[in-house]
Amino acid sequence: MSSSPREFQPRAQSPEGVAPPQRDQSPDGSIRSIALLGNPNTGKTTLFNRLCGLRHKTSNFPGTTQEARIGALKLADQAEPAHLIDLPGIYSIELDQHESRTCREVLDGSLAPKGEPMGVPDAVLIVLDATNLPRNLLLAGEVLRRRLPTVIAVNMIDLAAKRGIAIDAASLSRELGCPVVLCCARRGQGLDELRKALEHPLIPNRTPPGQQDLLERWADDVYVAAAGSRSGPATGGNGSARWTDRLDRVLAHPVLGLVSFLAIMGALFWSIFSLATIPMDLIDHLFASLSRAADANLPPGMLSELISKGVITGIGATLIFLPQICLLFFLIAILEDTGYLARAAFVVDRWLRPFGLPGHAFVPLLSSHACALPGIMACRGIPDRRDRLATILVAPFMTCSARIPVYVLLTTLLYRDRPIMAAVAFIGCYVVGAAAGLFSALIVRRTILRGKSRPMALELPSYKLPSLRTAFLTTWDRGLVFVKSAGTNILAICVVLWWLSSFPKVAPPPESVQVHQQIVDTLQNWRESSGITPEEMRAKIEGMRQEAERIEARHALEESFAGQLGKAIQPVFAPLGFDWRLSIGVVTSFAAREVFVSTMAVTIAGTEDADAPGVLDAVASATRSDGKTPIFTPAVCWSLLIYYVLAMQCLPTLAVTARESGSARWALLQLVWMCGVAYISALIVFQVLA
Amino acid sequence: MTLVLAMAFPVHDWQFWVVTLLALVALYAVARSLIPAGLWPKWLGSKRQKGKRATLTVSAKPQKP
Repeated sequence: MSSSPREFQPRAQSPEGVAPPQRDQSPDGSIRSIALLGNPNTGKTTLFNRLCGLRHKTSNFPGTTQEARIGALKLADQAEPAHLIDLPGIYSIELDQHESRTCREVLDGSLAPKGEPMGVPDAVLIVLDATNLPRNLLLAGEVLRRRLPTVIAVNMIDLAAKRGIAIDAASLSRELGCPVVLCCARRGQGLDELRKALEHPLIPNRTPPGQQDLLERWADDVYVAAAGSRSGPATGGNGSARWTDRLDRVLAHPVLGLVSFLAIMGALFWSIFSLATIPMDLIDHLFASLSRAADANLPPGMLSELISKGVITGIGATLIFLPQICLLFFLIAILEDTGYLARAAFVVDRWLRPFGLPGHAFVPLLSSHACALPGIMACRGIPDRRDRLATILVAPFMTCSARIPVYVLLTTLLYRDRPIMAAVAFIGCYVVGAAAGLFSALIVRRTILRGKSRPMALELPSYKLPSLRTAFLTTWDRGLVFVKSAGTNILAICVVLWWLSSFPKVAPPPESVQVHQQIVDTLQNWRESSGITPEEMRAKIEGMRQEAERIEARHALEESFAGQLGKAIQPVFAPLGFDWRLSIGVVTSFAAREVFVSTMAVTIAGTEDADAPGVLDAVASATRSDGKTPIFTPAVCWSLLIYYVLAMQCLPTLAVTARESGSARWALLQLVWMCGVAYISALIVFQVLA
Repeated sequence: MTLVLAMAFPVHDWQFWVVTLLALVALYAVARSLIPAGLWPKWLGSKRQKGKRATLTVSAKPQKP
C-alpha cells in the first residue's frame, strides 16, 4: 500500500499553479474518507448503495438542503472501512447554493458530518453520466483543480452503449490526468475495478482551466478525445433519446401531463389497496391469534391483559398497515427511478407558481410526503426568505407517511370490499391536503409574506428501466423506520394508554348486575319440557354472559382515567361527531398521528364484539356508550378523515418549524392555522353529512 | 375510603405494581422522545442526542441554523 497518494503518471505535466490542499493524512496512509460527487441523476446513490451494501447509515447535515449518507466502504489491505460520503448532486461546486456550499466545505475539510471534523477527504470519487459527458465534465474540471487524490467513475455505460456513445477509458484517463473506471452501478458492472482504483487514488497530474468559457472548451476537447467516436447502429443508436422525447410530448404536456399524472397516481393507489389486502389480512389474523393465545396461555391477571389487549392489539393495529406503506414507497421509488417524478415536478410546477410558491418548493413539498421534518429542513435551499417561510408553513399539509395508517383505516371502514372507491378516497386525501397547502400559501403570500415567487429550472433525465434493487432498499429503509416506530414510541404509548384505561377499577354497573340476575332466573326457570334443548340453553346463557361482560368492560372504560379524560375533552370535538374515545385518539396522536389507530384498538379491545375476527372488524363494529350507535358512521369517518388531512398533529414538526423559521411565532401560527382549518372543515363535513 | 381505594387500585396484587412500573417506564420513554432537549428537566437524567444526527460544525465551530 502506498504511504501517501502519488501523482498520476500516464502523462507527465506540471499542474498549473493550483496547490493541493493540506490534508491530515492517516499515519499508515490508509483511506479514511472518500467524498462522492457528481451531477444530479448520475446514479451516485445507486453506486453508493452498491459499494456500501446495506450497511450505510443516513446522516442529516444540519444546515444543508439535502440528505447526505455516510457508508462504510471496505477496501482491501485496510482493517478499518473507509467512510464514503454521498453528497448532494450539484452542477457546479462554485454556486452560491446550500448543496454546492456543502460539497465545497466537505472538500475543504471544514464540514463535520459525523459531529467531529473529518478533515479533507483522502480521496474524491467523481461520478459522471456516460450519456451526458460534456456537461458532467464541467463539474469534474472544477473538482480536479483542487488537486485531491481522485478517481472518476463513468456510470450508466450501458445506456451510453445503447445510444451509440463509445467512451475510451484510457483516453479519458489521459485527458483528465487521473484513473477512470467505466461502470454500470445499476447492474454492478465495473465495481471491482472501481474498488481497486479507490484503494490507490492518485492526485491528478492535469489542472483544468479556472475560467468558465475556457473550462467549457476544455470539457468539449476532453469529450472529443475520449468519446468523439460513435459506435453501434446509426439508425437505432438514439432510440432511448427518441423514446424520451416521444413520452415527454405526453407526460410533460401542460394538459396531457396533468391527466397522465392523475392517472398514474390513481393506478398507484389502486394497486396499494388491491395488492396489500392479502398480507394485511394475514397480519390482522396473526395478531388476533397472538392475542387469543396470550389470553389462553398466560395466567389470568393484569399482566396478561396488558400483553394481550395493550401490547399485542396496539402494535398489531399499527403493523397491519405495513404492507401498504411498503408498497407505496416501492412504487414511488420505481417511478422516481424511471425518471417520471422529474416530469411530475415539471407538470406540478406550473400549478405551484400561481399560488405564490417558488419552483424550489417542489422538492421540500415532495419530501414532506414522506415526513414533514426533512421537507421543512429542505426549505433551506429556497433562496428567498419569504418563499422559504411560506413553504415551511404549508409543508405539513402534505400527506406524510404517519397519516397513511389513519387514512387506510378510515377509507377501509368507509369502503370495505370496494378497493376502487377506497383508492379514490385515499387519493382525495392527498389532493385535499395539497389543495389546502396551496390555498394557505396563496393567503400567506397575499397577506403577511407578500412578493413574487421565483421560477424553477429542472433537468429532465432520460427515461430508463428502474432498478429493483434501489426500490427494495428504499422500501426496506422506510419499512424499518415504521416498524421501529411501532416497536418504540407506539409500544410505549399503548402501555400507558392501557394503564389509563384499566384503572381505577370500578364496581359492575346495575345493567350488568341485571343481566347476571337474568341468567340466574333463566337457569332456575328452565326445564327440558319447555322445549329448549340443553345446547340451545347453553348458547343463550353464553350470549347473555358475553353481553354482561361487554357492559362491564364498557362501564369500566368509561370510568377509567382515560374515559374521564376523554369525556373532559369530548365537548370540544362533539360538534365534529367525535365521541370520547375518538377524542382521546385525537389527543394521543399529537405524539404521532399513527398512534390514533393503536389508541382505537386499545380502547376498543375487550369492549366490543368478541366474535370479531380481527382488529379492523372490532374497530368497525365499535359502538358509543349506549352500546347501539356505531362510532364510525360515514359522517364521522369523513369528518375524522378531513380533520387528520388538515390538522397539525405533530409536535416534532412544530419544533422544527420554530427552529427553521427562527421564531416560535411561526410554529404557533402553523398550529393555530392548520388546526383551525381542520376543525372548521371537519365541522362542515360532519354537519352536512350527518 | 381505604376500601374504595383498595378496590380501585389492587395494591395487594403484585401484578398491579408490575404493570404500573411498566406504565411509568413507558411514560418516561414517551416524554423523553417528545420533550425537546432544552426543556428536559435535568433531574430526570441527561437527554442524549440520537447518534445519527449531528451538529454541523464548520472549522470545528458549531453552526447556528
